[in-house]
Amino acid sequence: MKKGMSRRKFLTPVVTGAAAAAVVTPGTLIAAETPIPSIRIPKDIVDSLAEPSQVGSFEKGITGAEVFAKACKEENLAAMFCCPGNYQVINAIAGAGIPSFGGRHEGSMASAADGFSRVTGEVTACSGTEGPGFTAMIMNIAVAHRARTPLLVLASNISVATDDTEYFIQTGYQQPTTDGLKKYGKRLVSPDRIHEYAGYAFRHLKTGVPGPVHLDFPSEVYRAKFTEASQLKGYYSRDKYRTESQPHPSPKEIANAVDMINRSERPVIVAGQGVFMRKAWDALKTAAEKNDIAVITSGAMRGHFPDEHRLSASLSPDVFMSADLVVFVGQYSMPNKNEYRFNPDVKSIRVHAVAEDLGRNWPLELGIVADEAAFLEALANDLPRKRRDSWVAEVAAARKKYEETINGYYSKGLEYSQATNTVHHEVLSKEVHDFLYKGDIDPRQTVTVWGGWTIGNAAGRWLRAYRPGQEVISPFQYFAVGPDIAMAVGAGAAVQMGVGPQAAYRGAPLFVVTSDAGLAFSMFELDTAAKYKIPIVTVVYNNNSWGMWPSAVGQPRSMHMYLFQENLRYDKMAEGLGARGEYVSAPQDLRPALKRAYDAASKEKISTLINVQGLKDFTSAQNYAPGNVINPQPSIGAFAH
Amino acid sequence: MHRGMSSTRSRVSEPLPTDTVGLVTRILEGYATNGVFRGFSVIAQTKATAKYRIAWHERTCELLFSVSRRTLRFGTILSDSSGIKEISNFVELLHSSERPPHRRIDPARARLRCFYRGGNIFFTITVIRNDFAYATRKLIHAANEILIDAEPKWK
Repeated sequence: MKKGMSRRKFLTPVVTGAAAAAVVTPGTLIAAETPIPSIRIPKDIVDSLAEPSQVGSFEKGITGAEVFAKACKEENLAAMFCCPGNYQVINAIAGAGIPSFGGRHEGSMASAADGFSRVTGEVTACSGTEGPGFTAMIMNIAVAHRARTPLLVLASNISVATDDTEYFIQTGYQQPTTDGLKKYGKRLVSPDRIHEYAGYAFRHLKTGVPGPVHLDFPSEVYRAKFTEASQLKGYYSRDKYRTESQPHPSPKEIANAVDMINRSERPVIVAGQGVFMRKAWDALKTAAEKNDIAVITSGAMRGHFPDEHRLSASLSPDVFMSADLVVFVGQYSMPNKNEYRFNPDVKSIRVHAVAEDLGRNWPLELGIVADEAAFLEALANDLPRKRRDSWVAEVAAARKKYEETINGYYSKGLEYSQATNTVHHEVLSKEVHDFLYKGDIDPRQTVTVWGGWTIGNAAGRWLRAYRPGQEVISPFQYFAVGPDIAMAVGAGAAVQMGVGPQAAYRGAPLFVVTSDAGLAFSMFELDTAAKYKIPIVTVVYNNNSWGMWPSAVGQPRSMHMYLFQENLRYDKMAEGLGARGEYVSAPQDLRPALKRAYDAASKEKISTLINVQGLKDFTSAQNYAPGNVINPQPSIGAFAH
Repeated sequence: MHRGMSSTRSRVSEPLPTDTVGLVTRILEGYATNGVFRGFSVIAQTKATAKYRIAWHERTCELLFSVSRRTLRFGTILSDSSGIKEISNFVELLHSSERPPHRRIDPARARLRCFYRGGNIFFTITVIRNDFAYATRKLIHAANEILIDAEPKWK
């Protein structure tokens, strides 16, 4: 390869300039002499990323944006994902040394920040310009809101001086737009309170149940200049404006919980997102093992209890109806009793960090306001050692039955694949499963993200989580189609940096399993992945349609709205964005393609998109039973709660 | 016991609860207060019969109880009969001795059956040995398990 050329060869022999105009037949160019330049990362990007950080100081004069960035730095804001706009704020945050990433769409950048948080539990930020940049983030803010992600949403917003005048462009009232989608929000109008409101933001982001916080910055605030601390109101450190104190359960409450568990024959802990966010996975394991309590995980990410553990019931959905006691710990998104597969006579304990949600949707025998880690540590300490051999055996038998069931889906899928010369969604998912967990790769290594309808349900039951932060359920609670690749970019940034539970797997490739329908929403972030050398293997189930196409059956004039052109080549599009492309239409070709993609990702940090050609009809059970199977709740592959 | 009674009759000779309808009503009310039913009403009640309306699993069902017939009957619990074979098999399996006791309907205490008529599916549980509480709970357990899997939320 020539010096200065990018790592991939994108040279295509076509003519340029005047000769290019000499088209003989539409779409056919005549002989080539001048090569089209390769896709490459410009030196300006490399140089910019190597620049040292600098935090503003009063001595030199510090802007409102820099005051805010300084507060973010002191709060260890883990990363920021943005598109240009809100310039002073994003420049100040990047300048302060907070890892910053620029992408192609503000919504995708919000989801990238969401993805980063889902695999680390850390607070992350996204940013966009006023008006279109901000509104482009709305769907993704809603996704983060349903997932209870501690997402700091930042946007510029014209000026207080021009409020209501429609001066120039992009006027908009931002805060009402995020009503119902955030934990806290504020249009900052007093420049001297910028630090104080950073405190408001982080108090909400870092205490209680997390959720998005939205701040919008008029120019008077981010441009304000300060030369001494006295010019700022409420300018004191985070030790003063918020507390690390967490609610602890009382001894009586723990005694009640222990008593209920002791009286139970078949107890289950549903370990929700709060267990992950509070890094309480070790305490959970200790408590469960001490008393032979089965554990099911729930939430927007998986892995806070390992799937392979003998007490994991996440792959044993048939056993849930046997439980006589369920202990919800850190279940942020609470189902009602008709949604989770529990017996109507099951007794219930719920442990939650804030009191106001206890009893909502699910009447309780015992409600405890407590931090998840504090509760599980106390429980692990006070529970007696107990063996429940018949209960553990029932969990294991249900798991065996579940695995036989999904292997049955795979066998049928393989038959269908061979009969149609395409790849069935169960076959795709099982191949990815075998590649990641049954081959040479450490099964605990690879972070996965899944989404999409038909393929999402299949991937959800085949992907595994063996350690905290290993699996992202992109459609959790909101079922947005499309943020999957964007979330992987953010999650990949966390793996690249080795943040939190990703430390042991720093730099490892990520896998995304997604749909052709969803791909359109964030595929351009493959450019972002390439730009930052975040290696992602995207496996796209291309079934030429929106997964809900069966809704058009029997509606003669509707089907066209549900279908795409057939055989679109997403692999070619990916190549145009600087990634590798692979095309697969036969089951036996998928494993070698996965291997090539993995090698490129792990050795050269190059992303790959594998276009796996499927068939829309596989979604329907009419001719291809069992069709699209929705996973039970709670369990592996569940997406609602 | 009268001479010549069948063995089945001998099993039902155990005394009836003093307030059988009240017993069943209280059990069902318990499911309403613990959130299994999203809505619950006693539509009609005598000493021998009761009619209940139950809202759960995004549908409203009527449950008929007859002391003399020793039955609780869900009318039209499912209006989509496409899964009748699978549901019938499941109902039959519920009585299997291979299931653990907490997941089983003991045929010596109650018998659940499902019926298909006019595109609708009905469930009836018959009480044996006067264990009305057991039969009521087992009917609700079975119906809950069937309904939770019956229809995806999105179609």
